[in-house]
Amino acid sequence: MNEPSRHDQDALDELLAEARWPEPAAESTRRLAAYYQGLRRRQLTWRTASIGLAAAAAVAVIAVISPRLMTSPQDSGQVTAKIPMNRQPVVLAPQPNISLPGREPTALELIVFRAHERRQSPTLAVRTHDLSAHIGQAVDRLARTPSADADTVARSLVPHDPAGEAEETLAAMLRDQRDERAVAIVRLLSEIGTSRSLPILQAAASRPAMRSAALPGLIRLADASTLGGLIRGEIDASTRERLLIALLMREPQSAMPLFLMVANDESSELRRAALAAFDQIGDPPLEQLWLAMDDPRIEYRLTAARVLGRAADPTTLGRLMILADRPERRREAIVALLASPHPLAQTALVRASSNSALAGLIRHLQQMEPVYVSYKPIAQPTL
Amino acid sequence: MDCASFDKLVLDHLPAMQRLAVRLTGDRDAAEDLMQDALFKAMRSRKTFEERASFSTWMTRIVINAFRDGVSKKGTGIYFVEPTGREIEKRFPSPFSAVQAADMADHVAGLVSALSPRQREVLVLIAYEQMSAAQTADALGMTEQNVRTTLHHARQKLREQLAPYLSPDQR
Repeated sequence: MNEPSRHDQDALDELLAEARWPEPAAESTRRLAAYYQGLRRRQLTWRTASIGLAAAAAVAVIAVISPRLMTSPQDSGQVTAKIPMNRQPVVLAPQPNISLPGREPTALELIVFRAHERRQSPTLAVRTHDLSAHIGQAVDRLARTPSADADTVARSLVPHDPAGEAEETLAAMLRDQRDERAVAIVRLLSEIGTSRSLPILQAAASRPAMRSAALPGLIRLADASTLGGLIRGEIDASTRERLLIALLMREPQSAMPLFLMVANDESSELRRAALAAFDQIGDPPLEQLWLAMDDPRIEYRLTAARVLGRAADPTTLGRLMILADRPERRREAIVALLASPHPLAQTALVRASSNSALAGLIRHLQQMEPVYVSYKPIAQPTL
Repeated sequence: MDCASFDKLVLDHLPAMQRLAVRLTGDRDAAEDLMQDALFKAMRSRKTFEERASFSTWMTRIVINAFRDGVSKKGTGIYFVEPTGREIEKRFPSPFSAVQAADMADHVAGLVSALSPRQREVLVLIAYEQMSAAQTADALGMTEQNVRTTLHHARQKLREQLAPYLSPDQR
């Protein structure tokens, strides 16, 4: 077999250098970090329990084999050797101070109670009978009539809540409630809750019966990271779109990477949903997308390009055409232009196709982008 | 080394090790599974880490061991599904459709991740983790000569698979 030529050797290295693997998702890294920290906690718990068991076993052995050590020196008249207690007492992890008759508190109840404990003060412990009664009526109304508008019901509490205590009262009520009343309380917290209610709403969103009740509040209050996590788990298309729009409205620096991950998701449904949400934004975060076009990861740049192309304003188009002149970003610029519904983008691509080198690249990219591009055959320029 | 310092090192190196796992398995989900095993092994093996050594090399060895454990359980499809020659051909019936179906960069990555496990380990560590032959030999428990031979065979295989793209006519 002939030895590879020097040209082939260099060419192979160039190809190997181009190899691109998907970047691990930030969510995946977080999961792994949490998994590792969980391992560490379990290890510490096991060690503590082991020490306790060993100490108990040691005491039991000593008690069995050396009964003389247990007698009082006054009784025996002898000097009593000290029982070796070189083990530390078992330290139990602090347990939440919750007592509910007959059953363990649920996760949601623990969250509520801990949040309530942190905020507790003598003044907050006093609830006016009037406010409590109105809150009870509001909860009853939503529980009996699920179709009632939660916003309207929540507004009815405002005149009776000058001190802004309804949120805390609702949170405290939640631990004693079930089913329809619990859902009603979560709906009210979605309307009137502040960031203090976020833990409750996040916990509720993880429970199928309460998810739809909690989402309006999360859409209003949750940060980009929380919204990003909710999007993938959402089955309802219109709710998912609301979540995506809410994500795009968040601070762009934190929201855009999460949005682009959805726009590059394996699920074509999620990708389309992301692009559709972007189309609805009146003032999209274009500068953040331009920044993403300089990301070192090609996948990230291409996803940003697909989204940016949909902006369709003349300024963006102009910048994309200038970008297409740069060989190192030509592919991204063409992907963006292919995604653009603007007629000028199509005109630019037709003109570029008159260049035989570019024509091949444009055709290649066009065939790669079936999901994102409103396919239009590139017409050959007339001579 | 105390637990807190060790844990910090593990978590600081986690993203880089995850990328290594993706290159070895070719798949993000499989890489996450691999990393779970690797993290478990790392915790259990904490006391074997000598502070004067490179944590990166030590952790790389842990990930490689976890990868090998997964490979040894290949019958259950853990960690990677090595495409057969027929499957690769079916996905990429011709060099041009291969480039059209998946960007060249994805294609090359797929071929690297489809190498035999030992060739994959050596190539990934040398070409993508920027390790020297000596460091790679240390991480993989091989001799340097063995590393060089394995690397040569890996490159030979890739050259055959990428031959149409290496021909001057095609570039």
